Amino acid sequence: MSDELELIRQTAAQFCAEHGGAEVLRTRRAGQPGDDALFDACVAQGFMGVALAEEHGGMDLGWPALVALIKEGGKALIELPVLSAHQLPIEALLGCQGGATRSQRLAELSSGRRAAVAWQSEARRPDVFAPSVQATHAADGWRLSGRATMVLGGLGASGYVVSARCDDGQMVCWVDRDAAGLEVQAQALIDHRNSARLVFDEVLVADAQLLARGGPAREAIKRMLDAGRLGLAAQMVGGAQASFEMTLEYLKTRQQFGVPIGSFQALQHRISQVFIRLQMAEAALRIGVDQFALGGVERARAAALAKAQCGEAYSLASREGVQLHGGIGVTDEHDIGFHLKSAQVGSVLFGDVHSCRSTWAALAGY
Amino acid sequence: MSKRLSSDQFAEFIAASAPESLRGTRLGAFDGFWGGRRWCHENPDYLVWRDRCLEHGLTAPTWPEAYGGGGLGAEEYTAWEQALVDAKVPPPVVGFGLTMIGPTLLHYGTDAQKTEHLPAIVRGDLRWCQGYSEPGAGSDLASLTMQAQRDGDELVITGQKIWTSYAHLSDWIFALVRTSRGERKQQGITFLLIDLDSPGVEVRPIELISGSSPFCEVFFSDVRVPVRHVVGAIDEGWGVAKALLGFERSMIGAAIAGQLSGLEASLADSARSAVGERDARLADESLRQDVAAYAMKEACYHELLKRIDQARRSGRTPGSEASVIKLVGTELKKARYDLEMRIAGTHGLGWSGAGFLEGDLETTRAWLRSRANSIEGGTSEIQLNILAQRVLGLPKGSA
Repeated sequence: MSDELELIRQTAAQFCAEHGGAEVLRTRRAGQPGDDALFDACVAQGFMGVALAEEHGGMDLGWPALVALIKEGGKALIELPVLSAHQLPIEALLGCQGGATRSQRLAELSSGRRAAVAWQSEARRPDVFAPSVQATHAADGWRLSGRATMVLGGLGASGYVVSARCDDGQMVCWVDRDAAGLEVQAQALIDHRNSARLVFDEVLVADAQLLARGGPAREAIKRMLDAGRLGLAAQMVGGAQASFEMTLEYLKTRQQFGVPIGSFQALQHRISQVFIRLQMAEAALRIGVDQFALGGVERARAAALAKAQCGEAYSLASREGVQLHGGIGVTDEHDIGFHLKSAQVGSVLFGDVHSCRSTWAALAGY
Repeated sequence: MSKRLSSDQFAEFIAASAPESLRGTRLGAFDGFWGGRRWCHENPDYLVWRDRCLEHGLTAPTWPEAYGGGGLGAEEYTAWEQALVDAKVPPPVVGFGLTMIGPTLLHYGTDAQKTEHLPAIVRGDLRWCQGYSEPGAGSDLASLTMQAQRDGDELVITGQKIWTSYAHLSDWIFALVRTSRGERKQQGITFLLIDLDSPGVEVRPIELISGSSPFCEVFFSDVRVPVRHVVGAIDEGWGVAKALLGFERSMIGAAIAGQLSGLEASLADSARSAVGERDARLADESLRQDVAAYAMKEACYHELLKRIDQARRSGRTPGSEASVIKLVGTELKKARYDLEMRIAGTHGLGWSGAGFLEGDLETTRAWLRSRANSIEGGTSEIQLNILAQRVLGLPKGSA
């Protein structure tokens, strides 16, 4: 890791110690679902600029820096809004071809405007190429109707990149938060990350707000999907590492039969397997970061790889974590249970392990 | 003194010097000229290739030039290996001399031992094997009992070794012997080099479930070995033994890496011919998932190797990471053959006789052989113990 990245990592670790942790999730659960303060703090800290080009005042460190940030968030059980409320809409916009609206939105997002991507249908296994929001041509532009769910970072956003179905397949457009006919509903997921359901009722999209249609729209959404997979992978590796570390610590301190339970070989082997999975997941994440800039098939394969491996590692680390903690592991008081929930959400969103393997296989021609 | 080549000359050298008959024959890092007095191969070009590389110290590229090595640095060595891989040419000399006892002697040997043994390894004149396991000392290696009694300036050896790879083709064995009993079983072990042509040595091959095997039993009765062949001090060989195990684990990891590279396409092809396609995808989704899962793990494994290699080349001796690589690599190899057997279905059930294709028979034997991979060179369970206790800092087991 370069000095610059290490500095970012340390700053993020400190930031997350202050702003993260299970207590934050309990507060959200108790009825304050948003994360506006966290978003503002991230902006103030300069996190939104790490991947931003230098000419816009950013550090231009790209995905390696983003991944370092997101990972620290994962360790502290929070999703730093740098991914869902910042980088994902940016990636979707970058994937669209040209246009004044695109440039304007990119500039706004770069300067700290909060947005999110609304693409997910309400299917059990949502397909990025089959959105359930329907766009119909109208005299004054387009009208959107239908619902998008699990819009990550969607609470508190001032606008959305929306993926919708239209006569030539798919389109991507911009919708302001206060557009007439748009309702933003808070959704509590099991891990209490910022999530919204968007209900569109004849929402007007002027032609100027259309970002891409047909093939280019699919490309934009593909890029957003790959970014989402890579980002979630980073978050899950962080979570897996935290789960592993707290479980290892518990094995060393918890005494039964007059000895630390970590002296039992059966448990030693289980935690060592978690350790190995974690090493494999870290390797997958490095591949994902290395290949992201290549685009195309390499990017998609590597993102699927990272998501699948990191998801499996987090699922294993959190499940083994709960089991090896015994009774305390299934109480709300202990953090490990929050990791179990976060692992489930992270693993399923943007395609579960089977879906990622399917992407990987399809792109290799089988 | 050898004529040293620079990295940008490797490809040219190989193109000019590698015998035609060896080009395109490269399999893995352990396929090639094993050397030794018992070497017999119908192709004499292995010796030609060895001799041409010897002139430049390229049979032991990173070893000091004083012993006939090439004195290459880490980056040059990588370039050399890559040039061989690119030209699909086998390494000029392979074997346990280069990968196990050589590095150990470089670290722990006396000047006299280095001078006596290293040049012979560099030339591939003598082939080495490893005498560690005994019938009563497998995973619990330190409980070994093969006796060595001091008699003047000789040690007299009596006992048995087992699972000795290629002992029947080797000239020398590096062995762990019991010279005394201390408070701890790790004390009183001596690391000894023994000429297998010494009177009193008997080698018997072992047949494995795959029908063949590189493994042997080696019996010693009153075998006399000069004391100068002790590496390290008498009774204090355990440290040397463990260091060598580190080299061994790295070697197994690296050897397997060559066999587990880029298999996705061929697995997908054989799966396709086994189950067919629907909409340009394998018709059996669960098999498709398993091929992808395997290929993903393979990709991660190589990334892991790359990272560990970088660390090692920056000067660290192999430690805990060798356990991760050994474990992941061997489990991956088993997974690969399990997958091949699943694809083969009934075609994977043949041992010999009518109705079977040569390729299927080979796959089946290789599958059987792969079951030993996670046992030899330290079982997967021992690797997990090492990780838990030496890396994760968990207390030594109570039960």
